[in-house]
Amino acid sequence: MNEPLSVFELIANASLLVQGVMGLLVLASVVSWMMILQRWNLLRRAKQEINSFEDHFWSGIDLRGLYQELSEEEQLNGIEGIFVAGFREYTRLSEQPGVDADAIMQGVQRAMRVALMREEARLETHLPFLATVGSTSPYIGLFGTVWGIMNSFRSLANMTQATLASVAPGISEALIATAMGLFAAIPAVIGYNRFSANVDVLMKRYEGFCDEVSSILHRAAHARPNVGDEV
Amino acid sequence: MATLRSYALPFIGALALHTLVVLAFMQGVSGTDEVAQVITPTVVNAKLMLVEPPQAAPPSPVKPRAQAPKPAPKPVEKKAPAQPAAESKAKDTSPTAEEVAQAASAERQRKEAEAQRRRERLAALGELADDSLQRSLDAEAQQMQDDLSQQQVSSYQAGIYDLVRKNWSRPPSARNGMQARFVVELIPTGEVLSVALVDSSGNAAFDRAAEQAIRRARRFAVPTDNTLFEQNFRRFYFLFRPEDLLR
Repeated sequence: MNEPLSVFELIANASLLVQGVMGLLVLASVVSWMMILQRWNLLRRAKQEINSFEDHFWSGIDLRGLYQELSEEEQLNGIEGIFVAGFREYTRLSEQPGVDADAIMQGVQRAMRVALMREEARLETHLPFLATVGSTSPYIGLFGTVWGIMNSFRSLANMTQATLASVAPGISEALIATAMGLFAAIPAVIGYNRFSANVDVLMKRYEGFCDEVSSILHRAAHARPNVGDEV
Repeated sequence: MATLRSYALPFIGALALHTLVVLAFMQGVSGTDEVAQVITPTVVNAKLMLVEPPQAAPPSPVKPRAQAPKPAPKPVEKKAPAQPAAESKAKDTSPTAEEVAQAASAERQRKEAEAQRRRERLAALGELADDSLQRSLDAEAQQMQDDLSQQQVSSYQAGIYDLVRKNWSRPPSARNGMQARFVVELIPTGEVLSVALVDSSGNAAFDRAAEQAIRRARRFAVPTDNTLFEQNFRRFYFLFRPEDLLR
């Protein structure tokens, strides 16, 4: 009678719908944390890669050598993938006779843009999920709470004497759902904001790098036609 | 596969984080529970402890324990070594088969008797323990019952008080410190049978207003439990005291 209510007892005694809501929220929280950790790892690695690759790239290395070195690797992600896509297109087009410099540059830019898009998609996967969890889970929790409070008040109506002790457990139980919703939502929103900002920064750097590569290739392509004509 | 594998570690991390949160929550919850337990039920527990064990439990089990072991093992042990020693001294060399058999049967009898005694003692102890346990359980149940009915009574009293207060229109001549006491009699359905003034406030208007308040309530909510009703609501005093005036 005077036993203090444990949260787990409250959850166990909750109605089926409220329990379902709680289960859904726990699931959403676990999955969103999984996404957050995975994204965090991936973006951190992408940033490291771009830093080291830019150092390598501007260290005066021969681009053809760099391309051959990279194209042997199986999976290319991030900035390396963009560079390889552009340079591959350049070598293919420049090997063909009768392709002028502008056409080469158009092809190179198109290839790099495709790689850039693919990269953006890769970086942004799961971010919509985080946004969804962040924006809806408070409402889901609120739904559970409202439902629980509704029931506890309805049972109050059937009692002859209304005491606070007869409603309090129901309300307390119902409020757990809101707490869970907030618990799921807050990290998801923070993660979403942080990661989308990170993705923006990375994309800006990729675009800058694309422009730099295409300007180098542009120079090379416009130097080349004379050679091609001669051959 | 590679992408799937890249999720394994985050998944484990997420699960670990949630279990940590749950554990922290449990810890926090149990911590507050301890505080709550310390505050409220000590009063009840202390009552039970004080009333029950000193009366029945400790003295009764101690006595048989103290009495029984003394007579039982010691004499037997003394006798047993003494007899064979004497016999062996007297007949010196050859302990015959008969003697051995006698000694063995004596030994067996002694053991049986001891076992019997032990069994009886255990049974007695068990009964005692059962008895005192049962009694303390009964007392506890009684205590809980009393608490419960006390709660019920006070909640019904609060209901009656509220109803009367709602129906009470205080006359302008009411002053702080006035006090009127009534005896109210109810029938088991809660209807007011009679209202009689016991102590007047000295102000007729005040007395009349108070009586009217009770009569106007007409019917009170009373416990359906008959004994509770008879004990507390069949006939009770109602005290009017306008202390909250001039606030």
